[in-house]
Amino acid sequence: MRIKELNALVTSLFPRSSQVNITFTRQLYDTFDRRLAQKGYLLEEDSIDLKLILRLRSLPSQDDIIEAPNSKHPRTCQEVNSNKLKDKLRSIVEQRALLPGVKYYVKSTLYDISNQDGKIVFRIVVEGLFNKNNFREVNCIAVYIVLLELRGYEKQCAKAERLLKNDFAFTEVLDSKITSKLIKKRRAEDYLPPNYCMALDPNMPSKEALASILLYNLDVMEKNEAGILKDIDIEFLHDFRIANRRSRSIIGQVHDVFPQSQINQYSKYLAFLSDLTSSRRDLDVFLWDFDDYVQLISSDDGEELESLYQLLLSQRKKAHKKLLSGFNTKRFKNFKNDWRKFLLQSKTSQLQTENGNLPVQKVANETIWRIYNKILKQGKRLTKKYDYDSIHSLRKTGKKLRYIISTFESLYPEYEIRQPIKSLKYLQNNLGEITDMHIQRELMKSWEMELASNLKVYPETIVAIKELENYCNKREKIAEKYFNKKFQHFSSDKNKKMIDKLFH
Amino acid sequence: MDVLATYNIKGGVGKTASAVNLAYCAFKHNLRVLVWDLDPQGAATYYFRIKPKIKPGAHRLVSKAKTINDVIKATNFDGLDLLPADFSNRNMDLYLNEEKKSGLRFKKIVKQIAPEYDLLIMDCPPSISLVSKNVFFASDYLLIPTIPTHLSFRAYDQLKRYINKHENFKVTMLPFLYMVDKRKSIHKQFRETFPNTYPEGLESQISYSSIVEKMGIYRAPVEIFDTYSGIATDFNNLWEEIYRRIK
Repeated sequence: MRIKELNALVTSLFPRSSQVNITFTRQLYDTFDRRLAQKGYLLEEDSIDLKLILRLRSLPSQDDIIEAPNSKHPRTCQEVNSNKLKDKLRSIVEQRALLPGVKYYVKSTLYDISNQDGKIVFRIVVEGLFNKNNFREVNCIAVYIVLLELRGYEKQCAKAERLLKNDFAFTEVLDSKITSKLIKKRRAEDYLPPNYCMALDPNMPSKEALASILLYNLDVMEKNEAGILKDIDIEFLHDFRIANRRSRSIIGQVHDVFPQSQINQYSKYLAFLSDLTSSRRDLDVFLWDFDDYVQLISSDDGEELESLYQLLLSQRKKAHKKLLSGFNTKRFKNFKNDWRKFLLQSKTSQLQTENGNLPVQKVANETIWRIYNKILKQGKRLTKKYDYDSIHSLRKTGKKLRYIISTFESLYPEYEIRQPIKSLKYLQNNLGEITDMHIQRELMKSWEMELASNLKVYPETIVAIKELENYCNKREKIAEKYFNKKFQHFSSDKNKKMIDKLFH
Repeated sequence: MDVLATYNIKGGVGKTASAVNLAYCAFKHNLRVLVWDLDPQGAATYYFRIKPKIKPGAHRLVSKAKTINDVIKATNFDGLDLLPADFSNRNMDLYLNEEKKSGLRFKKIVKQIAPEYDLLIMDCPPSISLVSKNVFFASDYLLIPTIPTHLSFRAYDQLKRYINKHENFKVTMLPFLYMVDKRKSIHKQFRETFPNTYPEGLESQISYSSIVEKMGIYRAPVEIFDTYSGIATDFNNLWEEIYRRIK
């Protein structure tokens, strides 16, 4: 079973789940005469966000596990910080040096499985061990699930274990509390979710509400900066860009809350950051999904696409360098300081704007209603005369609406706002499919041309890329056929009535 | 392990909100925290999204027939656990009365869990009873949220006299101002006189905020659903001050 299939299985079996993805490296150690292996032990060192965790486990029972952080890669037992771990290791390896052996690259998804009260009752980790850090399926050595019990909820975990064993033939389900600590540490200490919905008081002045939200988005961007610069995981850039887009939507769509002359400069710089990071993000997504592309072409091992893969890697390197050059500037540092200062001052500023002191509920209603009507107008024109640029423009408007609704979600009854969000998502999925396939097709054409000019590239590579282009084209055409239906659903009278009741 | 208890004879003064939010602040400081919900209303249990049920009831807990380890539940925060409330907590006085050395039963329970946690916070029901006597014996510190009104301070004075009368209570009282409305002149008056009148009190204050009521909607500490609110900052400041005191 591939890691993607395992993830899909988990989300289908346990729909009430939220997930966090991380990647890290795992280094194994042993003495030159393999004392640890002979005595039935495994010594692992996990490197997550530049922090090291050493773990000694007994095989195969895993009953005896000792884990502790370590300040550096241990060459001898002396260099192990934890006394408990040091003593245990010494009893096995004595004076022998610890030599690094196999190194794995681990792709891990942690799922929190909740009951109907939103209480997490157990956790599942889906992990893949890879022997290269590109995480391509062909390099995957093992995929497994780890079930993590929570105190007081042992029955729920046991039920899940029975389900996996009896219904899905999992022969051994590992049980490790250690992985939980590793992954949860990152969440508790470092993680600011970019899609966080801030609780708003409907009567608070809109400038105060929006300044708080924009400050949070700035925090998210700053929190993810180090991870982007060190290129630890692609999720750092993804979260950074989500926070950036949400801020841009707020500034662009919620009018007359902040003085326009002052907000324009920040808006421009946020747009610059979006441009600066977009090519690296596109390439990250492509590379992450590369195995899926390999599956699409008629090939045994995907070797035809190896040249494309190498091209994308080199382009990613250039895109990352461009990103670094933009981040490591005084201009960027000044922007962050000035933007923060501006937002903090705006909360209590006496400067009058048309909507700054109005209750945030009123401003939210007006904004959402305005964008909703814009979508209706744009969509109606498209149903009469279809063209790609208008679809692209409609998708962008739809995204703005989605971000704005998400920003103000706490102001509306949870049950009532669910349907408008669902119907918008329904439309956006279709628009996304059309535009994503179109963009991917254009990108692949450009790569095809670049590779075609290189005499060292095999003709099979060009053929394979053309196959992918055709695939994208087919998907785009299918999605286009469904557009009218999806738009009619969104613009239906039933939907209009709901949206009118909530936002008008 | 340090043992705190949020306590007040009066009800509706912020004991549970304080217990839950301070527990979260302590958890963020990488302490291993246990909250014990002693109130039969089970509000703290509700906030942590846990069912208020101890099988087969609180009386087994105090009669040694059930160990505390069997009933503790993990919350959604890894390292912050809960000993849930149970409706049978309403008869806790009766159960304790049946035991020998009834005033020390909680102290024994606390000793059981001490190796596992850095901090225990007991959320107490509003009363003076055998339950509260157990809390006074078992706790190192009593956190007493006090609304700045005459009746609140009268109740605090009564409690202080009661505790000081009993030599065996080694607990330290830490009153702090809660639901402070800076617009009210009487609250301003109490804020100004509080440090001199009650030098044992904490300097940090918790402002009045409707956001606390939203804990019942979001079923989470305030900092989870409104990280940047004034009230979240207030609780963090209060925790920092408590932490300095207990260390």
